[in-house]
Amino acid sequence: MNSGKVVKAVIEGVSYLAVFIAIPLWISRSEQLKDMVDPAMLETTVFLGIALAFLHVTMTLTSKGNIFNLLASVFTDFIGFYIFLYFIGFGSPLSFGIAKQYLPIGEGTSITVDFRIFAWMLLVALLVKVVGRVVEYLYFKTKLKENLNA
Amino acid sequence: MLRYFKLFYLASIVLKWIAYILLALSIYTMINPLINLASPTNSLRQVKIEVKPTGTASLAMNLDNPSLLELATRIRIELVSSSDRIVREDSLNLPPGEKGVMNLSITLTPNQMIEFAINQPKILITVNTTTLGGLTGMEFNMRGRE
Repeated sequence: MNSGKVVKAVIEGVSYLAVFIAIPLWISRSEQLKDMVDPAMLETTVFLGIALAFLHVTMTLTSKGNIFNLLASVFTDFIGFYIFLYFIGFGSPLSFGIAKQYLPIGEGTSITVDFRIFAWMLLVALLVKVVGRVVEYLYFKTKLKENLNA
Repeated sequence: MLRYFKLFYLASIVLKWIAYILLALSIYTMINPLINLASPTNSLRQVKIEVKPTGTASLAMNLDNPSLLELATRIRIELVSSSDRIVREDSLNLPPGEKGVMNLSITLTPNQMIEFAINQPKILITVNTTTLGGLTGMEFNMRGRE
């Protein structure tokens, strides 16, 4: 295996872990921010960060015509979409862009935001990207076969 | 055909960035009214209740804070009994920045008069706002007070 690829994979993996673990850790230790953010949200961020790091390492270490490369890249796209839904839904990805949050400023005070339009836009962007990934995989697979036959 | 897969990536990236920019714009537009609405001392919470001996009560809400109503499109006010039953509700559709006084007149039965004299009714206020020409929306619920 190309040593440059391994170095790139390690750097990418470590960067994802640093961002997705360091930021939640910093928030959980910050006196001002820790009460504002749900601990479950931080745990999910760390979990998704680990998954993204693993998938990026897989993507870097495998070639474009490899089925694992395709699967890793499609899963990465889906996780990215899930993270987006998670944050615009204030921790409820299943609400698909509609988020309700009770505010600690008095009984019955709540805010509901409707960001469904962005969830739909990102879903269309995700589907277009997945089609692109499949076409890319087929292109490189065909090329690989041609190189082997030649 | 297969070599054009990059076009799919380009379309996806463009769509994604349009969504991100519109989302940022929408949050930026909402943030000031939201901070104002969340303030416990905001003037929209102030509701004047006048109970008359004839059994009629009048609720008036002063809509004179333009910064709070910058984006408001609809305001709803509910009078809720101690048993969480909505006694009366009324709403008003507003063009953005509308000022004035919203009046809600209700007729109370003698029993309700006694009930509300003992247990103060809850006043729930809902402010609806929209941004980006109605593409996104926000609903803010709060307790009103006399």
